[in-house]
Amino acid sequence: MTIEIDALAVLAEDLGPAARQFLTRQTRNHLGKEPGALQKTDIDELAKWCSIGIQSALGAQIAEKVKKGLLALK
Amino acid sequence: MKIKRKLLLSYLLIVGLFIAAGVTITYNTMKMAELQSNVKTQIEINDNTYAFQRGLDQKQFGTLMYCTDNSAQGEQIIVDSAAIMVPAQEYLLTALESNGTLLAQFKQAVSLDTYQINGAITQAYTITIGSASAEEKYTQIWGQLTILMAAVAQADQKLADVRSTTAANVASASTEAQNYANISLVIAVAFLAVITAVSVAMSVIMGNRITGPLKKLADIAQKVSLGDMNQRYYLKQEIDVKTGDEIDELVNAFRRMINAFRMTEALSKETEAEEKGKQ
Repeated sequence: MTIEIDALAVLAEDLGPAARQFLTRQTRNHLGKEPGALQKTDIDELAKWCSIGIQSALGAQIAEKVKKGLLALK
Repeated sequence: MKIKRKLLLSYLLIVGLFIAAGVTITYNTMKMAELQSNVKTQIEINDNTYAFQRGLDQKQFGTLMYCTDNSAQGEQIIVDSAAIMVPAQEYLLTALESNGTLLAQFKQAVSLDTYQINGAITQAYTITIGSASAEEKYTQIWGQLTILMAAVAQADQKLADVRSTTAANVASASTEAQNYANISLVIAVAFLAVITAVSVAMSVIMGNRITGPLKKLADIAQKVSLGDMNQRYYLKQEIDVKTGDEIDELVNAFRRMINAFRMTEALSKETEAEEKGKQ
């Protein structure tokens, strides 16, 4: 499985159908690449930006949970 | 645990209580049937002992008649007594096989009949047809009748002991059967009360566990459908009960859906802001 699919699985747990749109946005805007091009080395950065994005919309608790989930993909 | 499994377990609990009540009452009923059969046997033993006793008395009476110038009638009465005593004796020797004490008592009565009573009758008959003088015959016959009456009295006592024992056994078995009947009644009432209480409690608990969260979820869904996205917090506060069943799964799916709405809304606002910035 690619990092994109793994990350989507983690995000979909809390974001449901909005997971793909959110991942695409955070990857493009903050990592400067497409989700399909994500590497293991991007995971730290991805976790950080996803956590920030989720915290403002859904709160710190979900943000922390998602961050841990993404970091576990390393 | 899934709702279906919870309902099934509740059902099995109630069925289990019914089975326990059924087994206990069936056991008591079987014991009562056993006691009833025992009572029937004891009554039959009592009746046959009484018949044997009556036969002895009849034999004694027949002998007295035989010795007092009513020989034909007396002889007939003695023969009739045998017709009563023989089947009773046969029955009792078989029926009392399992009860050593009663069998010994009855055999003592039979022994008195065989040796002393029948012996006295034979002697009386021999004296009657003998050539002694009337006075001598009277004295000798009276002697034999005295032996006969004493033996009949002894045998009567033995048979009365057998009858009193069987009567006591009947009384004891009846009391025991009555106790089993009373216990069955108490068990039936107690189990009925427990089963009713458990059924009502299970219905209320299961009903509340299933309909309670669903009702709250329906209220929240109603508000969310009207645009109130803050329901995610209510969802957490009100229905965050880990039931481990389909309700839990439904709440999680609903929470995820609200998160998706909120995230989509947030992303739209960001996109909108970015576009405004570009302009």
